[in-house]
Amino acid sequence: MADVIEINVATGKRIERDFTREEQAQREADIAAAIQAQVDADAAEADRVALRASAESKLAALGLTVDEIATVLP
Amino acid sequence: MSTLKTTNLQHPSAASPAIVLDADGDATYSGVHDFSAATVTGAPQGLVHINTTTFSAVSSVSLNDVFTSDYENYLMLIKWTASAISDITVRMRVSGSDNSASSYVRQRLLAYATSVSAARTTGTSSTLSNAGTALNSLRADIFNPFTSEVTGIVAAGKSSESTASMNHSVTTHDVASSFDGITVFPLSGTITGTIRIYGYSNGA
Repeated sequence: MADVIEINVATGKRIERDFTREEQAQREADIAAAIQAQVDADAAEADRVALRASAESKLAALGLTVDEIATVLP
Repeated sequence: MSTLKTTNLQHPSAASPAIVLDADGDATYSGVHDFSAATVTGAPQGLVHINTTTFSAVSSVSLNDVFTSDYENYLMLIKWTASAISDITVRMRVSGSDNSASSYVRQRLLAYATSVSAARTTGTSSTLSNAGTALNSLRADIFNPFTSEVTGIVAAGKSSESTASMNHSVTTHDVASSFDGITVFPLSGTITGTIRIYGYSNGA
């Protein structure tokens, strides 16, 4: 299968082709960036979950119930 | 040339007039009017279909010369399935080439079951929606792509991830420039589906 479908809407010409060298390089850069963005997002989420667990633990030590903690933490 | 003056046009066997003319010259149509064999001229109103493109198992779909001076704003409807769970992304084009500058500022609001997250990013493309491997769909309003202004995109996507999740995103291409095309692509894998583009008429 072709990598790319390119349509000229004005003429109706339809081209099915593989990536050019430049497009292939951009594609690889896009994929690498997407992977890195997911790694960053996962790390940020892990940090958030850890901070929340720490906050819940400290609030529980102060005597708050689970329901009370739920009203404090979003 | 002669003028036929009447108020009603009605077939002899019809129960009521098909066309009624009032004193101002306005015509009121009733029943079914078949214009399938006619050429209808005049400025079209509302949404005007420009192009429908179908594609199968491709990594990228590019539409050239789709944005013109005919319309200022456009509606893009996409339905697609994907070979992998992946965001669907766009780049603006001009003269047959993608604009890959880091000029796409995107604000995203993603809802996935009870989890809601938001993010603003600046990059070389912009994500319109998350997507699963089953049927996904999105609409995107594209503002000012052809005029030499900042281009804006407002998109709402229905992802098939976990049957239904949603993504609302807005994009600013923050360099005022004229684009005549757009490329749609997944960040991984391939896509199969249909893209429809409509122009918003500004009226007569």
